[in-house]
Order: sequence, then structure tokens, then C-alpha cells
Amino acid sequence: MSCERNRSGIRRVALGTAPSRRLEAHLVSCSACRGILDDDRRWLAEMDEELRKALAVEPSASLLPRVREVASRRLAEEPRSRLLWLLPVAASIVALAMLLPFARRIPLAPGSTPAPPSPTGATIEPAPSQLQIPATIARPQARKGSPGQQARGRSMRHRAPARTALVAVEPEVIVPPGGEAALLRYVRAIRHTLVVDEVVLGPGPDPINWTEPASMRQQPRAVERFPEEMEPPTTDAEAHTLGD
Amino acid sequence: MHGPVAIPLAGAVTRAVGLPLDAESEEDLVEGSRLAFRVAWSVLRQREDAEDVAQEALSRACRNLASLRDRGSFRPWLVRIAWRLALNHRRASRRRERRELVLADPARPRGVEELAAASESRARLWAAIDRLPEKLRLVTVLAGIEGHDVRAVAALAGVPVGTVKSRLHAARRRLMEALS
Repeated sequence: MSCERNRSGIRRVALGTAPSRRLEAHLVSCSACRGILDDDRRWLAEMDEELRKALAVEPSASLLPRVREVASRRLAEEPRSRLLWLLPVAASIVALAMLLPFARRIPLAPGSTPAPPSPTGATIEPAPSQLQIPATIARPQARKGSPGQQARGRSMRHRAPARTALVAVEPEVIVPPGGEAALLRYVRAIRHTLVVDEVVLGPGPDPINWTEPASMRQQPRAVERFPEEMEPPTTDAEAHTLGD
Repeated sequence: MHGPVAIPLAGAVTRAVGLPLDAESEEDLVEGSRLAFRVAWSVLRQREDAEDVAQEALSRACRNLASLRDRGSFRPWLVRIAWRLALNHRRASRRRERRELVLADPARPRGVEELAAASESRARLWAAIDRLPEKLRLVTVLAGIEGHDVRAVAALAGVPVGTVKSRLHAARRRLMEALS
């Protein structure tokens, strides 16, 4: 067996690996390889000892007091640092509280005033010049209904600002001259609860003569009779004869 | 009335603020600072720098003490902090030295301590250790500290005993190849 081929195997044995049977038999018979193994083991032991001596260095006597001082300072800062995370949370809560009134407000039409909030949050009192919303729409909480329906009515409260803005828009209806009374009757007819307090008259489109001119009136026509030979048959027999 | 109560958990830190400790906790403080210093010294080989790193490591351990629940994990935690701080410190020092070498006189005499520590065999050994991969280097250093067997190294490095054995074997083999 070649000693050179066993060199790596001998190094592994020196590092602690169990030798194979062949290598073990060679080491028994070869004193040179046995000497290499001993040298490797001695070298490793010296290296470990060198490392152990190097790492046996002691810190200076001033290290312990310094460590105690710094550690006590850090621990004294600890209670304050634990509460630092509360600062951004508190700032966020304050900012949200300040922005909440602005978030609930919807811009209204110029010159109109927002409806005062009611205890239920759903009743709307429009301005005198505004159309009144029918009670069936404006007061959903007044309806008799199931608990589920009442809950839906309560869930509509958050829409109160939007409804206020809708009512606050000044309606504009162009009525032909002399048609105010007819419009009022029409509105009352289709919405019994709708009350129009006043009608604002504007210039409107070009005046139209709403009375039908006499020339366009339909006159009754004179009834003309067919000649006798063109009178339609009156019985089935006559009709059959005519068909033939 | 109860007298002072001994606090066994992480005694090295509670001792630092003057709380009453048992003898084991007092030992924690001394051994913890020594261990952090040796780990830092194995990387830096400068006493002052190693002490600064050990002080900083114990300071950080105190600051993050609330996240530590097991007394047994205090020393491995301290070792990892000291090891990482020492590596960062050495990188910064090397950058600084490179800058200074450009400006300084190349014939500048070396320091007395540096010369004393520069025996040839030891310098070659540390140079070879510095070239080891980080995982192999850490177990080599921890195993080189007196009183640390394989189990202690495994506990400090936070790896299984078998992993420590294989890493130690690989590290010693590389050192042999580099030095012989």
C-alpha cells in the first residue's frame, strides 16, 4: 500500500475520524505513516493550545464598572422607551377627532342653511321656500314595520346630510303664462302631500298661444251615403251570389 | 415583611441596576462580560476595541431584556450580539485603516502591543482563522475558550451538537491545510 495515497486518510484520522480497516492495518505495519499521524495530532494539539492561550485574555478591571453603569442607564431609559409607541397613536386619535366634523359635512347650495340635526337624525325640516319631501320619504322611522325594516330605517341615518343637500337645491319649474294653477292641481293630484308654497315666475321660452286657433279646430264632417248599387250585402245568400 | 428577594433571571442585568442577586447572578455578570470580551477579542485582537464591543453588547442585552424569557438563552444571546458587533467594528476599522494608510507615512512604527502580539505562529494562526467562513470561525473560537466543550459550544452557538462537531472538524481540517 502506498504511503502517499494514505496521506489524506491519515489527516482525517488525526482530526478524529475512525480509520478504515485497511488504513489501520497499514498504520500498524508502517512506522513512517504512524509518525505522520503522531505529528498531525501533536500539531493539532499545539494549535488548540495556542488558540486557548490566545483566548484566555482577561478584560481590564475597568470593564465591569463600565458595563454596570451603561446597563443601569439603559434600564433607566426603558420605561420611557416603552411608552414611546403611544405618541403616534395619540396623535392619530386627536387628528381623527379634529377631522370628524369636516368629514360629515357636505357642501350646500349658496345661500341655503343646513337643516338642524334632529334627535333621530333622519327628520328633515326644509326651508320655507323649498319643496317639502313627502313624509313617506322624509320620515322612514315613522313607518310601522318589522324590526328589520326599522333597522334599515336607522341605517339610513348616515344619509341625512346627502338628503339635506338634495332638498337644499332650489327647484326650478318653467310654467307657461297662466299655467300656475294647472301645475299646482297636477302636483296635488299626483302627490297629495306635496305642497308648493310659491311658484317663481321666470322669463321662460317664447310665449306660446296655448288656446287652439279656430282654423285648427276639427269641424264635424257631413255623412255621405254610398249609392244604392254600392251598398254592402246584407245577407249571406246575397254575398255568396256576389262571390260567384 | 419580606426581605430582599433574589432574582435569578438574567442576573447580570438586574445586578446592574442594584437589585439583590444570588451568587449565580453575580457570576452571570462577571462571566458574561468576560465571555463577550473574549468573543470580541477573537475578532479584533485589540483590548480597547474588544472592551468597547463587550460593553456595547451587554448594554444592548440590557435594552432588549424584555424580549428574553429564558435565563439559559442569555449567554448565547450575548455571544451572538458580541460576535456581530465585533465583525461590524472590524469592517469599520479596516475601512478606516485603508483611508489612513493612503495618507500616513509607510515607515510608521507599529504599536508596542501590536508588536508583542505578533509572534509568528500566533499571527499565522489568527490569519488562518480569519479566512475561515463565519460559521466555522464562531465554533472554533467558542471551542477555544477554556471550559467550553462541544455541548457548551452548541448551546452558545444555538446549533445542535452534531453540527458543532462537523463544523469543528471542517475548521480544523482547513486550518491544517492552511498552516502545515
